[in-house]
Amino acid sequence: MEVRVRNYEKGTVIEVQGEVDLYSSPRVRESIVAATRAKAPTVVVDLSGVGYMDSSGVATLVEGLQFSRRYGGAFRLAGLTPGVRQVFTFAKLDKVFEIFPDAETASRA
Amino acid sequence: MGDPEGIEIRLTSDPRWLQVLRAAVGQVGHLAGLDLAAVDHLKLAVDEACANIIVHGYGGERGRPIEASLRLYPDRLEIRLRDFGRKVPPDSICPKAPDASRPGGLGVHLMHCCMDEVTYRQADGPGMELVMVKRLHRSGEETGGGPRP
Repeated sequence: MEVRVRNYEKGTVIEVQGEVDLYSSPRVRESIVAATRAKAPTVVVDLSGVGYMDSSGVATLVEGLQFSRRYGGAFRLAGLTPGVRQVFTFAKLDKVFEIFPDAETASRA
Repeated sequence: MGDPEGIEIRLTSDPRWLQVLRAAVGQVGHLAGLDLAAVDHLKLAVDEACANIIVHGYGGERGRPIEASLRLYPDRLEIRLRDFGRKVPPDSICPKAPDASRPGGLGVHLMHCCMDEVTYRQADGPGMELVMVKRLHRSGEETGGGPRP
């Protein structure tokens, strides 16, 4: 799994590639913690390259949402693949997050 | 009549092996004739079950054994997971309703969403045994699992 972080004028885009599970989710969390500690006004997590995510990945994203809310930041998910979207639907969290079709749209929203 | 077809996999309680187990489970799902969504469900259920063993059964300790057995019957795929960690009352391992403020416990909920049957029991000796069943359907029928109200 790879995580790439880029900053833009409104915040941070965290681009995740690969499978997010109990082994790899701490690396996603690291980037989310760094962005929210820096109080990025908007954090976009680009999941278009993630074909698989388990509950540890979902919990990491929920944590990110909570961190952002504490300082009034926006926390957005982008590019959910069908498998990942299914997990969010099972978890009934698809209405909790702001979900965008792609990172570009999420960054500009 | 011989034993049902299947494989046994023994892994240790290190999260890095989960991706290897998922790959193997996915292949078994394909052999069982499951569609792509059902194969994804199977992988997720086994992954969540093993993650629970690693985190709760073994308290995060690495190097402890997890035994996975996948058996293909004419009407079902049966997965047994055995650990040798903490023994808990099976009733205490229940799916929690998803809660965005407390995402813990989501794994068992996902297992129930993905499989047709999820049954924990205390093993003979240390640890727990989990049996999960995915029913196999004839072509054109749905493959079970899916969100439950």
